[in-house]
Order: sequence, then C-alpha cells, then structure tokens
Amino acid sequence: MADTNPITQFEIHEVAPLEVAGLNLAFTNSAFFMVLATVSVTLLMALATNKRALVPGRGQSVAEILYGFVADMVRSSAGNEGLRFFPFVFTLFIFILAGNMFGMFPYLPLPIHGVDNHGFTITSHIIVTLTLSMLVMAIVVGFGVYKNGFNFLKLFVPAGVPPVLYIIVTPIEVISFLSRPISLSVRLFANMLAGHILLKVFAGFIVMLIATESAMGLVGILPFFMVVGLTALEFLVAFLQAYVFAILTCIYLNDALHPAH
Amino acid sequence: MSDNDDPDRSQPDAQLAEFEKRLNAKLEARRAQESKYDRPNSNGWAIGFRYGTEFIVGVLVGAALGFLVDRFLGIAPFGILIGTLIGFGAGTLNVVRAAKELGERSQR
Repeated sequence: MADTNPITQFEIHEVAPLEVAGLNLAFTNSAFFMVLATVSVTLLMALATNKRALVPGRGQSVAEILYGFVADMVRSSAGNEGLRFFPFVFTLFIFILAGNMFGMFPYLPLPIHGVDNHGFTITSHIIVTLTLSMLVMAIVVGFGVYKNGFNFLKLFVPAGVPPVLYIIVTPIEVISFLSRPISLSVRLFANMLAGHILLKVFAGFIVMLIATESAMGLVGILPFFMVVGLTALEFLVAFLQAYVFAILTCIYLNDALHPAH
Repeated sequence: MSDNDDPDRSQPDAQLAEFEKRLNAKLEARRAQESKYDRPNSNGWAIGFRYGTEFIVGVLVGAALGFLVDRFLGIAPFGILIGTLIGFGAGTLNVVRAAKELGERSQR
C-alpha cells in the first residue's frame, strides 16, 4: 500500500531551486504544469491556424469552434463592446480549461528530472485561482475607472432607490462587489479540490481492498466502477468550471463597460 | 446571373418556393428540437454550488470588513455585528443576481 493518501496529489515539489534576495522563487511542479498548459495550447492553436484554409480542416475547425464559442459568450453577456476583451477572456478560459484537463491525468510520466510523475491540477490551489480572479477584478476596476471616470461609482448607487436607503444599499453593493473575486476563485478551487480528492479516495479503496489479499479484493470492483463514473463527471466539471469562470468574467466586465444600471 | 444557363435551376419558381417553405419548416423544427437540449446547459450540482458560494462569500466578506473596522476604530463588537448583517444582505443580493442571470440564460 504505497500511497493511498488522497491529498498527496496537491503537494508542491521544487523542480529547479532558485532564490532571489531571500525569496524562494523555485520552479515548482505547479509552475511546470502552468507552462505545460500554456505551451501546449499555444502550439495547438498555432498549428491549427497556420494553414488558414478557407475550408477548415479538423484542427482548424476545433480552433474556430473554440473561437466562436468564446466570442458568443462575450457578445451575449458584455455586448459587442465587450469584444475588445475577447483576447483576455479567451486566454483565461483556455488556460483554465487546459489546466483542469491536464489535472485529469492521474499519472503523467514526464522525462524531466525532478517533476513528480503524479499529475497536478493547477486550479486546485486557491492561490492560483485567486490570482486569476484578482486579475479579472483589477481589469474591471482599472478599465471601469479609465472609461467612466467618476461614473464608475454608480455601480454602488443603483438607480430607482429612495435616497434614504442609500445608507443600507451602498454598503451592501460594496460588499457584494468585494465578494466577487472571492466567490469566483473559491468556486473553481473548491470544485477541483473536492472532485480530485473524491477520485483518489475511491481509487484508494480499490488498492486497500486488493491489499487484503482475500476474497475482499473482489469487492474492489465496486469502487472501480465508481471511479470510472466519477472520472466522467470530473471531465464535465473541469469544462463547466472553466466555462463558469469565463462567463462570470464577461458579466463583471459588462459592469465595467456599463456601470449605471 | 441568368437562371436559364443552368439546367438545374430551370425549375419553375413555384416549385422553388415550395422547396424553400419545406426547408424552413424543417429547419424550424430542428431548431426547436435543439433548443430543448440546450436548456439544461449546466448540471444541478454546479448551479447549487454557485448559489451556495455566492451567499456564504457575501456573509464572510461582510464579517471580515466588520472585523477590520473593529480593529482600526476600536468599536468592537459593533463593527463585526453590523458587518455580518450587511453581509447577509450582500449574500442575498448575490444569490438574487445569480438566479436572475441563470434564468435569463436558460430562457434564450
């Protein structure tokens, strides 16, 4: 029974140690999987679109469907004006999607020294998802103030409310706004964390049951079917959470474009 | 473009119009069929989780802000009390907004 601990998969290992002015800036397995996601997506997209065929081939259709999917998402929630943020939303969506999908490998044999062979889900760490959502919020606030100036604060003063109620409504709106980056990041992180722990717990049951070396080992077929089912569910969650993150980004960007409503 | 050059297009207009009508009817039926599949575009668990986090995070942020106000103004425990209450309001507002947005999306 080598390792049935379901949370070993979230451990961070240093791949290449690096220390700058007392700060530990080591290249970790988390950073490695981020680079893997970015590089593979970039290569895939470059390869798929380098022909620019009028009648798209298989790879190009995938790229075009992805483009259309995200463009529709941006247009439907942030309007045509929102399309200026299309590169940002597309990058965010595809990065999270690739990170989630690479996390679905339970075992990823890599030839690089120091990188552990077990898979790693970058989005299962709240520091990663919180950084992404803070980036979204920084863009919402930055662009909102740049475009609307003082009018951006109308976000906290909804129209059609009697002025007396602003004492209560404005703090509520402020807290609601401040809770956005947290709910955005917690949702993605909690979904990936819970799903992957669940997968490994059930996979651990198989190992434990077989390790008894008795007839109990045959019962191991039951958690095995569970793991198969859960893996399918996790693929759905991996896509769905990337989608939810991207569509909420669009909705928040819409607030930056039109604060008064 | 004259239709007479093309032997395939020399059909009478009435026949063409008839064909277009049938095609449109088929397309409409197909779209209605597809929109039926589109509706549950996310599973119930994801929606439930969405509402849950929206609400809880509102309360927690409210309480945290109240706690900070306590720390800096030294008016404990009133900051955290009022902050939590306003946080409940903010959480409810978050849930209402999420429900409105999900409702709009499923109607399309």
